[in-house]
Amino acid sequence: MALIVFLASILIFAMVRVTPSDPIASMTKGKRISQETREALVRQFHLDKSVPEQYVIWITGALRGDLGNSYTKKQPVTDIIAGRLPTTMQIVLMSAVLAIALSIPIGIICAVKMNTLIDRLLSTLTLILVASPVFLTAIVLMLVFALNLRWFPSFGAGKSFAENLYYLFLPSLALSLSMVALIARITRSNMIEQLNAPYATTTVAKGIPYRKVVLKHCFKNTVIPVVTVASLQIGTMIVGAVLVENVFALGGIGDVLISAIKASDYPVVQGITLLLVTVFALINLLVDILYAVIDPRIRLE
Amino acid sequence: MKRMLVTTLIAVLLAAMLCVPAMAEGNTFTVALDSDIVALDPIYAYDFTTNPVVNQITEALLQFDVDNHLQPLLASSWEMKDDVTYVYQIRSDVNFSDGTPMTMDDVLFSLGRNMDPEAGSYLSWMFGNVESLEQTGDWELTVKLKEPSATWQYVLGTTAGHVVSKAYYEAHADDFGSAEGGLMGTGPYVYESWTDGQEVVLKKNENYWDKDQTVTLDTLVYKIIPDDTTRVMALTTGDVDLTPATPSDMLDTLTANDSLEVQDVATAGVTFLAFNTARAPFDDVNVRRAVTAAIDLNAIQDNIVRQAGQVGTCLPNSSVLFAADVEGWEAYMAAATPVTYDLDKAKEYLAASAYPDGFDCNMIISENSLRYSIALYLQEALKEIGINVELVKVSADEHTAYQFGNIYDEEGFRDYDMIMAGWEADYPDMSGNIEPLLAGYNTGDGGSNAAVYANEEVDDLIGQSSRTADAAERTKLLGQAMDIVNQDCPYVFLNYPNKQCTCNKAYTGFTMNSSWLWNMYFKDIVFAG
Repeated sequence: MALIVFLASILIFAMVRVTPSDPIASMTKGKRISQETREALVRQFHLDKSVPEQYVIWITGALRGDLGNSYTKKQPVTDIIAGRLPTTMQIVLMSAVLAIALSIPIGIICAVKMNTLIDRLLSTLTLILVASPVFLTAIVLMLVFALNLRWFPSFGAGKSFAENLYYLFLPSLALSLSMVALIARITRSNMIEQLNAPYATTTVAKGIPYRKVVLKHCFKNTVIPVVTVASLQIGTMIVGAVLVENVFALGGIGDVLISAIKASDYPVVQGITLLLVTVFALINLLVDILYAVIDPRIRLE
Repeated sequence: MKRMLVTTLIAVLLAAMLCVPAMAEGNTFTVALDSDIVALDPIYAYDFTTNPVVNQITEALLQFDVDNHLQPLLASSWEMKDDVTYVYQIRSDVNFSDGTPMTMDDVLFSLGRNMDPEAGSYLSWMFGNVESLEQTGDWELTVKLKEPSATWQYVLGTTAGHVVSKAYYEAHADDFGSAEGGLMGTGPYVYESWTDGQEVVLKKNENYWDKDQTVTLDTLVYKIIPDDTTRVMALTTGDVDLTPATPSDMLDTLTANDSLEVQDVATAGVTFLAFNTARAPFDDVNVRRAVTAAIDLNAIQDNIVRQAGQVGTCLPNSSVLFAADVEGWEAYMAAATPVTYDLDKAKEYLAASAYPDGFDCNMIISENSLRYSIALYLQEALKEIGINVELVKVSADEHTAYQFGNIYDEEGFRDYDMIMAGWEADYPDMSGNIEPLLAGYNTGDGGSNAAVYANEEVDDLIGQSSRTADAAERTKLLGQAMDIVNQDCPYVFLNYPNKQCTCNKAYTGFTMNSSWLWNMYFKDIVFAG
């Protein structure tokens, strides 16, 4: 894993430098500065050094927890990340919980009521949701629930924990909806497979209530592929969070990433991308462990 | 179990809703910004989101009034002793927000920070012509310049002239101007908190030195809302009371709203089309004249720009920059004979050039819907005379790199044929756009002369005007320079953008003017209900 992150760091560092831009111009947004100040800024940000040297400065700093200073904001990158990470983590977690809480019941209902009106209705609905881009879902939810019904605030992340939950509900819902669709469909197809399996027929024949067969026996076998997809989706969600954060003005990681890319603020782009790569790698590791917890057979292998 | 989870979630959400306190009406004024601030420190306050925050906390020696004329603020008066010596009388009755008096030491220290290269002040260039800053009396500050300058007078009315507490700076040297370190000034509001990417909160300064000033708002909250739709919605719902970042494509919705007032002000800015005069084919003056004559500025105004700006002329100056000599410039405009829209003339010019049958070229533009529409119009217009334009759309940052000469072709020329870009004068001075866009010494690395236009005679006239104090004389000199420029046609000045500020009608006492980068003050705002 460390190797992957290391290789990614080289790639990230090289890629942000592909677009032609002048860091000093990024800092001052094209306004003029005196020659002495320009030189001092060049020195302070190590821009007088060669690119490999700059990389070494950056990566050794990163190992010590110092990702350098932002070009456009007079702050260390680690401070920017530390201030914004909690919001992003919270909406990703909240939407993951919401997505799972919504999608698994939908999937099971659809499987049990296969090919009935309810199944068709829910399937169509989830299909629409999976096709709708996250920012559109976000704007529609905002128009309906914040502007017209006024049930929720239209922007901001709130201050206290209780406020957070309230303020972040709409953004989390917007983010979770496309995931709901996907997981529900996977749950449905797996569940149908399990319900038709011989063991299910046997348990029903033994006289165990159908409800119990579905929820206790078949559900456990359905969960493994769902966990796989859900974990991959959490990775995607971090990216989707970027768009939702922008619409709801949450001031999270994604929001600062977008503005940093627009402004060629290399240190911020690098720092956040490196963080995202590390998070992805960690999630994969966690999922491998989770498999073993859910299914003892995997542990034996 | 799942049912329990859902029930718990709903219960928690309901509880959260009840916990949210009702918004305090009246005393809290909420401003929406479209991006986060750079810092709280005035020496980095040089953009349209940072300044509306910093301008409330620290104050400058001078200030611009609604007519763009200079007025006293922390300095009670000033005079020009000779053409390189300016003397300022500093007020002795000013105190910082913690009650400690402002001293000459604080003033000298604050201004001096702009001259310290290690501080990296974004405004350092304004002090490039300063020879020395000295205390010459108990409350007297004398500024000596290296050479006469017509624009020095404005500098101390910008954030470069803001005064911070030296004692506070020294106690917070490592994190001054950051969210933790904060800052201390003499302004009507004091810094309270800054949550990166979310909000900045200021509180009323209970020790404000100006006893004639009544500040009625207790709290100023700046919300950072990058998305245009969300910002407009927040204004509509009343969650936000004012935004200086009004999206131009949503003007109709905002003007139609009875609870909102849209203030429309002319700016010192200009949107232009620059020809790369250093490289073929636009090194040929007849090509430039041909293109200039093929562009119908009135058609652009009537069909595309409309209320977003004012129609272009042969000058880079919007009416705002005529402030010092309105009559002189009106007379100039009446007498000027620039190349104007005339399709037959355009064809004649092109026939006289080295490319009588037309040619292919490119135009760099940024991702801006208004400018893109203008570019499409230009593409069509130039096709009429046989010039095929390829539009090259680049990101805002890349565009900046092109505009300021950081991207070169193999032969060392700026790598574009034409670029559509903008410039906004820092001071309401008549040379505010002429000097950066046309002076030959601005053509290099980081230079604002996007046409790479260099003419010694023009440089000389611009130089003379910047060493002259008399407004009418300066108009004459700059007018002579513009006569030459109007024959050389390095630019087409397409329009002068307007700026809109939207405010909730429940509040009064705020008027935006074209110097708003330096004088956007919220101290007079009153809740009218």
